[in-house]
Amino acid sequence: MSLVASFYETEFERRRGVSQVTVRPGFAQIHVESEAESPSAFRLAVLAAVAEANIRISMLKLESRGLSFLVEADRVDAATDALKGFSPGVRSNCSLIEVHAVNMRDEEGLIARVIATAIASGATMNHVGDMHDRILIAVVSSDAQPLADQLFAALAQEDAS
Amino acid sequence: MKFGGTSVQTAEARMQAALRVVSAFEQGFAPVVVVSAIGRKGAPYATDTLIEELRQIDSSIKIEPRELDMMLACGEIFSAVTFVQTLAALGHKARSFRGGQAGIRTDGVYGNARIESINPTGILNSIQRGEIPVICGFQGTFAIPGEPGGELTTLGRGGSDTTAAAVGAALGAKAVEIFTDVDGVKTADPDFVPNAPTLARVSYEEVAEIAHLGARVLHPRAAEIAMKYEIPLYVKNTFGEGPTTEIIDRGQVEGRRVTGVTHSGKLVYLEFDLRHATTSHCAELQAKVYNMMARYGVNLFMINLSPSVIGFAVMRSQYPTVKDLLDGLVAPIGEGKPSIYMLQLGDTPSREAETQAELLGPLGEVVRIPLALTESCTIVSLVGSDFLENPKVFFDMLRCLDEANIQVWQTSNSDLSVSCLVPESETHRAVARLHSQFGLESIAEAPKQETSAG
Repeated sequence: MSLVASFYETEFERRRGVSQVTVRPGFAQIHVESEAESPSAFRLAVLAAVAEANIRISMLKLESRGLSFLVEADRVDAATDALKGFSPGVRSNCSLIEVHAVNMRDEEGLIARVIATAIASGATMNHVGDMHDRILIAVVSSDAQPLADQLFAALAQEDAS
Repeated sequence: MKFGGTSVQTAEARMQAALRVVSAFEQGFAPVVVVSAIGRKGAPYATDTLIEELRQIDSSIKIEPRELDMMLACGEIFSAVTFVQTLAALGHKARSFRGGQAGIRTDGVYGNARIESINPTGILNSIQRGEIPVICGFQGTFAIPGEPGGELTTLGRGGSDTTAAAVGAALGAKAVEIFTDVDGVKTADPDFVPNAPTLARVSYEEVAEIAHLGARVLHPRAAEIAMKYEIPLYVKNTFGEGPTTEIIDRGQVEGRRVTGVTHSGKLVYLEFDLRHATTSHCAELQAKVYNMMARYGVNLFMINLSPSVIGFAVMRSQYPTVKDLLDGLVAPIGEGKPSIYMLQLGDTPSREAETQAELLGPLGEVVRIPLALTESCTIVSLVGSDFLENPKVFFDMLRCLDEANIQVWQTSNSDLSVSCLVPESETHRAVARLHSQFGLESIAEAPKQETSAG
């Protein structure tokens, strides 16, 4: 039996805390609402319309009287066409900031810290979403890079200390 | 080869596990074993039992994380030594290793340490001597400069899976096999969907997503390490020749959009209605709430942040802390005579809140911000690949739940999953309905187990 240890001192797990902050431009946020008593049928009708028009959506958020979501900027016209009957509101020039941190739902208070830092920056945020390994912040494009830089400076330094 | 708690909890179970190790050895492999603590809740050396031993001394005294780690590590040590003796009874030389003896170095976070490096010299020497190394899962050591010996740390949830994947990577293993008491990775929790098939092949990313979102069959940290080092992972049942799941690179998994339905979390959803707040004050109010959550280490889920709403879910175990922090919280905002915002849980203010409002009245206008509370929520998720390529997935998921009269309070999504916050009482129905809606019962069942090491 012959064995060769290919690794003697090997890095394994990613460091805890914020590891990376990225910016993806090229989105728009669509917002639709209704005065209907129960919003669920309304929401389904909206989602059916965008699905029928073959428009990919992301960061779907349910709101008390409707819903909002992101579409790629080059699909905004198609989306507004598809939603003509629903009087959609559009926030153009939207970018997506992704704040990456492994297992962030297990890191006490980390998600709240990221959001508090983002709010304190004064950037115009349209939307926030969370997953186990990242927070997504939909933000006005002109605010995106400064906010990303600020988040990385505040949170990566905090983790390093 | 990693054996979980139920795979080593009785002499019979250990014998079955040991026979699998011997079989691999006799086929010419050099098996390296990682074991969890023996048994689950209630067993004499299970993690919960060991913690209870300490609590019984005086439940009012906090257990220091360092001491807790020392205690918890005993479960795996007992398990490893017992496994070595079982192998010896089968005529095989074996040697137990604590995490530190196996060369596992971690960061210094007691109770939730991360593996930083592994020096597998001791394991390799053991193999060269013809022994079968048996490593205590879930633990490592952290070196404090100037102090001999190193500090024992434990790896937190899923620690033994993580140990197995990391040791496999350090040794350049042909495969890492995770033995448990169920057949492979299922398309849903079999307690909720009894006919849920076992997946034959699933990508590292998908299994990590499934694990993050609630499936307990494999810890995501293990999947992430295996992915980084491109080591095939197998999930197998210790107690039968049932189906096996192979976890491999994303590109090798044939087209399949939806992989599984998961459920996770006992949560409480909170939503503040900011419509009564002055628009220019909303950001500061939001910042105060999130700063408070950060300062007290509250973990948030399913966030909803808009100019008119602050919404998030917290773990039920953290809710009493959150309630204490937020109900009656006072936030004066604005120059001169400020607006005095007071968060109020429910429609009727507590007596303390009423008193506060009266006292604060002369200082500025008191604005109550109602906080709506939804207790007993859970997250139900669809996991798959390239979800966002399919515009219909949100519609299909929400329609399915709507048709079943299951309320959805909020959603979140990634490339690999779409999650809905639903009433905890509806978890079973939601999982079963979605499993059926997305045709998961017709996914081809994985083949039966073959030989060891794949």
